[in-house]
Amino acid sequence: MTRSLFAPGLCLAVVCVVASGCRHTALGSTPASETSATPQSQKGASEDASIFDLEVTLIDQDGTRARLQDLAGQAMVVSMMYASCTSVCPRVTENMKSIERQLGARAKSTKFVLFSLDPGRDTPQALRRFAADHQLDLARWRLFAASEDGVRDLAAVLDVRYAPGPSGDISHSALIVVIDQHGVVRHRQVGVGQDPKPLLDAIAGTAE
Amino acid sequence: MARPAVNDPVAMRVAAVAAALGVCLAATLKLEAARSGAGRAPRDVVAGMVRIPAGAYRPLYNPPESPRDRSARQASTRPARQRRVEAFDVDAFAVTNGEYLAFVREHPEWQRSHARKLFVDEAYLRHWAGDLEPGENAPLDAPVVSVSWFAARAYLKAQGKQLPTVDQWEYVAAASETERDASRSPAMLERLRVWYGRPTPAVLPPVTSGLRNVYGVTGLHGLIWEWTLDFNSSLVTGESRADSSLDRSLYCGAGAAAASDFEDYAAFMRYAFRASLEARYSVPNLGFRGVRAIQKDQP
Repeated sequence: MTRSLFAPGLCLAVVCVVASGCRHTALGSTPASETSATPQSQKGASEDASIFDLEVTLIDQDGTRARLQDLAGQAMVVSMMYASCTSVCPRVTENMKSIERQLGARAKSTKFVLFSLDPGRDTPQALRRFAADHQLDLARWRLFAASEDGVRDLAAVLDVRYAPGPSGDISHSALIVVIDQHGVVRHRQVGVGQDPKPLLDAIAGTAE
Repeated sequence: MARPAVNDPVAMRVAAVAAALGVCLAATLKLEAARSGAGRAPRDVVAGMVRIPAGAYRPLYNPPESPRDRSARQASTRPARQRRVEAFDVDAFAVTNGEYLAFVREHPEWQRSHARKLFVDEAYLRHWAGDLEPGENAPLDAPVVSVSWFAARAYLKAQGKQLPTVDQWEYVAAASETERDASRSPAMLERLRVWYGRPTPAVLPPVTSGLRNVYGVTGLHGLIWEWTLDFNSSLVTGESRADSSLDRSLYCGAGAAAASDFEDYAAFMRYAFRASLEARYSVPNLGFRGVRAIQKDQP
């Protein structure tokens, strides 16, 4: 850490490096090359880790209680959102629907799961309304709320960052995660509007 | 905070991100504990804990504002945006290897060779000699480090405590030996700056050896970094770049453009450090301490 690192002139460049570089191992060696990288496929560090090791109680859009482990057995496409979100959540949801369409017949053996970041407001009714607004096929989709602590743990295992703001908005990662039937994260798509192929390939890979 | 060991890739990454970000946000993220409220907090409300009185602080990070809003605020005599922090109890010292050893004896699922991969990375307690043997690199009275957020949470849950929020931690950490809010004190900032540039010793000293602040809380600075409950609310990640509202509303605009104030370098380092963490990371100079909400029937 030399003095020059802290020169204000570097600031703008550095913001972008930080934005794309946090998860890359080589940060600090050749940061400039990373500014153009699209981090659409960052492998989670927890490749052998199963999210089903996490004990968390969920409640779905119908008011049915479930444990996270109950979701085992089928590949899942997962995101975290909140129902009153007007910025990125609808786009993430639409992105997931587009994936659902592109999966064709395979969509039948895939679950689409949205975990709420908003334990205060996302009641089963609010989740059901969100599902209706987005015309989600509840045969495949499930929307879950959890306690504040449960949300914290879920966000931690999925590496979703979030910060509730004073206005009630929750700034958070726009992230779509593919999880296999054993609970292992197989793919993380960061942001929406990415090339869907790596994600679709990851879903196909869960069947192998 | 002390520089991590050079041969640790996670630590290097963390340090690099922290260093980079420290510059960037240095102008907009300001920490200022409230000056209201005087007198010392009652001590030892719960054994080993210190009562922290309610107050307010200015968070590290203030959202960018339009030029018009900014001039309006600057013209106003109203205090800058502050966040209220309720009273709480905090551990006077970071959790030690000895205390953590007692925990893993009781909870074998958190022993180094048993902990689930979802909750810890391969560096978990790496400096310990064995599952139940801290060994010479981890003296019993030194802070336990290389523990993940999940592990810290599990330990504290067993104690009826939890991790401090960023607000709670920063609020207490703004204090020096003599002032509740030393976050703008040049002397304090200079000490932090020196300390952050110093390498971490291979074997950490006892938890009692750090700076003891005006509340009676020791070692918030000078020894290790500490986990916070909502460390992942520091939103500087790949995710925030493309489509979440963050990048639009939080960083690249006002923050970067106005980065010229180096006074708050230390606070930015912490913010950036948190932004670089994942919950299962086990970092060689990252430990933790607990807090407890004050029960209603307590004074």
